Amino acid sequence: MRLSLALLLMLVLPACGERGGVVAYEVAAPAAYDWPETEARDDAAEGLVWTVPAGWVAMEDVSDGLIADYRLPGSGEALPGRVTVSMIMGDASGFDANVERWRDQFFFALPEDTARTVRVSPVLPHLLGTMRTAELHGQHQGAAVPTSMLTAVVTILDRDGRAFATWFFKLAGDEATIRAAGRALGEMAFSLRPEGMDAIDLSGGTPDPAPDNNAPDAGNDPGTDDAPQP
Amino acid sequence: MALPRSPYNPLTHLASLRLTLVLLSLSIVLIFVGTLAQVDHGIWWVVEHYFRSLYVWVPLDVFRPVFWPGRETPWDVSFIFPGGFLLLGLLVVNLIAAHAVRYKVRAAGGTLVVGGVCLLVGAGLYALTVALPTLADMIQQDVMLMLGIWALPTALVTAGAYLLFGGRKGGIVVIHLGLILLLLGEFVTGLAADEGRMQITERGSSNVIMDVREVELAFITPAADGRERHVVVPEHLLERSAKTGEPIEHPDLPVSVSVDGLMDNSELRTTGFAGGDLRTVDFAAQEIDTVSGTQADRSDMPSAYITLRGGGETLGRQLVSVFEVVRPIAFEANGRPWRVVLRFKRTYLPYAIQLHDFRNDTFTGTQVARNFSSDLRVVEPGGSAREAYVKMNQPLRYDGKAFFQAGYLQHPLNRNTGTILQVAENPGSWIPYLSCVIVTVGLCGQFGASLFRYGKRTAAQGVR
Repeated sequence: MRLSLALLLMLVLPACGERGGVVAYEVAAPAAYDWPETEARDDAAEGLVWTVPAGWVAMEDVSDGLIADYRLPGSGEALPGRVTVSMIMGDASGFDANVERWRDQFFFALPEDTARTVRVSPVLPHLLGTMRTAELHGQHQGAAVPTSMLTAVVTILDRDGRAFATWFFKLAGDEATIRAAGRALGEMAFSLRPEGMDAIDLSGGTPDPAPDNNAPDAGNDPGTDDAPQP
Repeated sequence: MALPRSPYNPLTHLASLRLTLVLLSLSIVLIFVGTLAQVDHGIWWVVEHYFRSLYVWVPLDVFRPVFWPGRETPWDVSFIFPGGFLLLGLLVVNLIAAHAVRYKVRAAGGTLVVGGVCLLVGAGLYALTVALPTLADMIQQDVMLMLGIWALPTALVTAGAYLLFGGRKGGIVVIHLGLILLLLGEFVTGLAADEGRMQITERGSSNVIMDVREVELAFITPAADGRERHVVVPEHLLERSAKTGEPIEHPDLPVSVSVDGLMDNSELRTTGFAGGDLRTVDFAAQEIDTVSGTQADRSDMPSAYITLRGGGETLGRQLVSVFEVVRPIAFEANGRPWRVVLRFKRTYLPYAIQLHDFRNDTFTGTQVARNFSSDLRVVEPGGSAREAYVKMNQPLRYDGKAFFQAGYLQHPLNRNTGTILQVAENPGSWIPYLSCVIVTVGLCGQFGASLFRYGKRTAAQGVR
């Protein structure tokens, strides 16, 4: 009998114990991923070359429809940045139509305010034609956290000034990633050039690929003074 | 050696076979109503309230089918029923009492000593196999190895039982030992096991395990050397404050906090938009039904309205939620910046796990999943690292925890993939395996002995 009671108490008492109260502790960020160190180098496809910034790692398995796929260093809880390069022959329906398409993929809390979250650049001169950028901040459909996207669109023009091909350099991640890597993306897009040609010296600076203009149609002015001349 | 079977001996009643049958019948009913309860509640809620409790109030609604007209209006009538822990505890007591009353140690002299020593040495070897980390790891990784390691102690325990209780009852004693171990194992699992989830993006690193069954309110402020100080209020204190209206105060908390409403599951709607991006959106939360056991792929998303008070001032009623789009509450107290978030209960590991690569293999030419796998690296604070490969049904066992491949993440925007690891820590995970081994040996011994006696008897009759 004593044995039985002791066993019963032994089993029941732990279940009735007091649960914990307020606790305080200090935590450190987890050891960062051992990111491979890469130097700036050239990648090539479709007879063109572009310069990949240092630190960006090219993925080996590239999805259908993409020309190149790069990952940017990121921590465990942040959204690591990803840069994809793709190309479509012709004008790819035009820059504005693409911005509208990307806008439709985002959730902007209140539809009438979507314009505030989309920023586009003026038309910038490029060695091969023109370049424009679009920056979107919001919440991508299905994403649980705020996400941002910066795309540099290079339109290659033929001798008649018609769009021959359109290249998309798309950076996606959280807003901090866009802020940190936006300029590098712009420089990579500016570096697109025919194979065999030396890289353009950008030490004089490039225009900010995401100028602070809120109006989606504010970028129809031709080039800016500080853009590298073709 | 058995205790006297008298109506005045309470053990006689506790050892009753009728009690066994009643307890088993009640267990079957409990499993039935617990299964029905999963129509309205999540699996873990049912496990906690029905199976890992001493008693449970069972609403009559559980017996109404989902298509029953008017089911959305609850009957508000419940009946009390013994919970899983109470039934298990009584079954253990019943079994032990039965042994005390009915099973007589038949051995004497040298046989008694040898039998006792065999039993004790066998039990000691079992304890050794689960106490030594290397052996414990081997037991859980390979079934044949497990059987090999447990062969000697099982043989000793079986021999001890046969020597002490004789050929007719030795097998039953071994079977009952296995059953008692199995029942006790559920207590160990129920009280000591822990489970959570770890998410790591590719080429990322994490040291956080989240338990999506429980939330906590965290006050976070920067500390020295890039560290952060977290002051965490557990869920049961939030619930108590929500019920009583009493503020939660603690010397480590920079302010006092009152919970005006705690929602087990919620959805958000936007109520205002002050600036240019999502960080300036104001949200309101609305309570919705909790996720039921039939929606295994979803989990509850709790939210709460809280009021923070400090230095005679109040920061007003504010929303906190596990939805990441809801901004943390930011304020300053004693010259330090703080932010407050409601989050799933976290456990921080002293080491980090990095994800090199996640693979989602499909059968050729189809999108049907064939295998999920992750290339991991465990990095200790000192810098030492261990590479690991985890796939379905092949977990990483490290630090007493098992990291199972549970799923994967793919960000809809940038298509980055990541892995979801289910992290289980159960100090009693080996108990069901050992119980099965002991019961199997006991059954073989008991039926083998009966067969042997039958054969012997038939042979003797044949001779006559």
